[in-house]
Amino acid sequence: MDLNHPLPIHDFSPDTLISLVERIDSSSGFQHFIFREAELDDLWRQVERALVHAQSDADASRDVDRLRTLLECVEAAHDLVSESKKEEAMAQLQAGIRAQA
Amino acid sequence: MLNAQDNELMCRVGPGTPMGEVLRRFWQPVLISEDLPHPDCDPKEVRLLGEDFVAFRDSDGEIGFLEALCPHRRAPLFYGRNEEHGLRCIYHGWKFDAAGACVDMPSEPAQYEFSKKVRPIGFPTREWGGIIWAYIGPQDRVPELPELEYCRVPAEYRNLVKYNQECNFVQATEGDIDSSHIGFLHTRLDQKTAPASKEMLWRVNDQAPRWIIQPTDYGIMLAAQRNAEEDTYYWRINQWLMPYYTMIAMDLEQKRGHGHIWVPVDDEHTDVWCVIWSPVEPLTQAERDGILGGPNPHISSLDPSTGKLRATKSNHFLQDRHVQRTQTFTGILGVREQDTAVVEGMGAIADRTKEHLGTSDSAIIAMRRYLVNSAKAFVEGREPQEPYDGGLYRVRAWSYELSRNIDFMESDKVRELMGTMVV
Ligand code: FES
Ligand SMILES: [Fe+2]
Repeated sequence: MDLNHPLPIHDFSPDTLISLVERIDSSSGFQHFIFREAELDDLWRQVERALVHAQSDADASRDVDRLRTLLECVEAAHDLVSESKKEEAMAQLQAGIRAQA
Repeated sequence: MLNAQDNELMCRVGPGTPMGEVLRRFWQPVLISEDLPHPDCDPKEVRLLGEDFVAFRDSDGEIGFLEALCPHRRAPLFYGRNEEHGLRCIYHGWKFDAAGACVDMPSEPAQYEFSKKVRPIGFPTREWGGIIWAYIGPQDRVPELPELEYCRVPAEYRNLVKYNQECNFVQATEGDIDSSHIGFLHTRLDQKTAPASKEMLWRVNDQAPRWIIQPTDYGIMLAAQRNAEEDTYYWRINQWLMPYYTMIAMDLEQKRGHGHIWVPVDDEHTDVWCVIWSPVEPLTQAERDGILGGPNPHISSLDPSTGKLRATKSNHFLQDRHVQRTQTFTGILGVREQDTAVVEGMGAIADRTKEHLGTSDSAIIAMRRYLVNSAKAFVEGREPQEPYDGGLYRVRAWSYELSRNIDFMESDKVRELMGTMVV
């Protein structure tokens, strides 16, 4: 696992979230947490785009609550990672995974 | 993305704010030496970190940097008479020397010696590297000057110019470490078909460089690795140094350096210093002329009478849509005008809660985090360390073609390039 570079994020599937949890778990030090923060920024914009879409599309409206919860979890994880609080950040992402199930 | 609280913490620079206090631990570049060209010349108004000052050069050439308002009845000292080793207030004639001590109080009876009882209103200053520096932080911890390469070369090797930008210093600084904008904002449309140099060709051919983002004692080191020839990489190294210095990679021969200083005037204004220098030879007149003029100027519209650009938000930075269609990506003339259009357009203080950053923005995330951490550490009682070791600033930004086999972090050649050649 190369922790000194950000992993490009393409979706917010459970697999992606799990890999991000693992990457946070293995991280230590300023440099690692910069890249974990960048990954969560990337993830955040994917979820946000999906939420905006769900809010405007009647067919997807049942996803709104689920996506909103996930976005909140990702945002919280992002801020926690930026303070190097990895246990709390991982817990937020795990809550995000559960909210999607 | 940065939450609103951290954004505030990072951007507010006034007295008493955490970031403002961190910034006050450093020497501040306030004027170019030529702004006060000779003894007893006209004083200059300076606004710095949300506070107002007046700077003057006394009869011996010493620099005075004083509170802007006279302690008597708060008249602006800027209007004062610069005469015989001091600046004399035009209201009732109180006079202050370069250290800010009141040395004459003609409106008061001499026997009371009031002048000795007035608190000095001056701050420490230095003149070095063509720059007038002032220190407005706690007087019991005066720091070291940053030993930047461009300050240590002879005056003929260096060109300094500055202008005032209408936005917060952090977003101004971010422009220099936002590596991915280089391939857009500052490009000509023919760059791909007619690259001007081999570096340009490498940049065009490898638009997705691999990045090393390394926290250091001075700030952040950014290294971009691009494919050059079959067995070589083209490396470009940039630095951001606490609290607001940026260094842009030199040319392959390491003969020309380029850096910026982003000094916060207040929360919503920044003095942008553009420094071009050579570590090895005097700059030519043609080079100096090309900075403010010619076909591809660094700054195209500087108005020396105001210290601002003539290209502004209200005239859309003189954007020429025809040129944009046919010649350049922006249709805006001047590298600084192009950057200024973008960063001023974000609003005085960018709302970073609304951004959509990605993994290519890691360098910006790193710089912000370094700043926010410094402010938070200060709140917890930990002082910044960078101001007290001027030697940290002896690094250089460089570019070089290196064998693909070298280990960048371990290479002696890299270490040699990273250090400065100027003693
Ligand atoms: S206000 Fe300056 S001398 Fe009175
Ligand atoms: Fe730029």
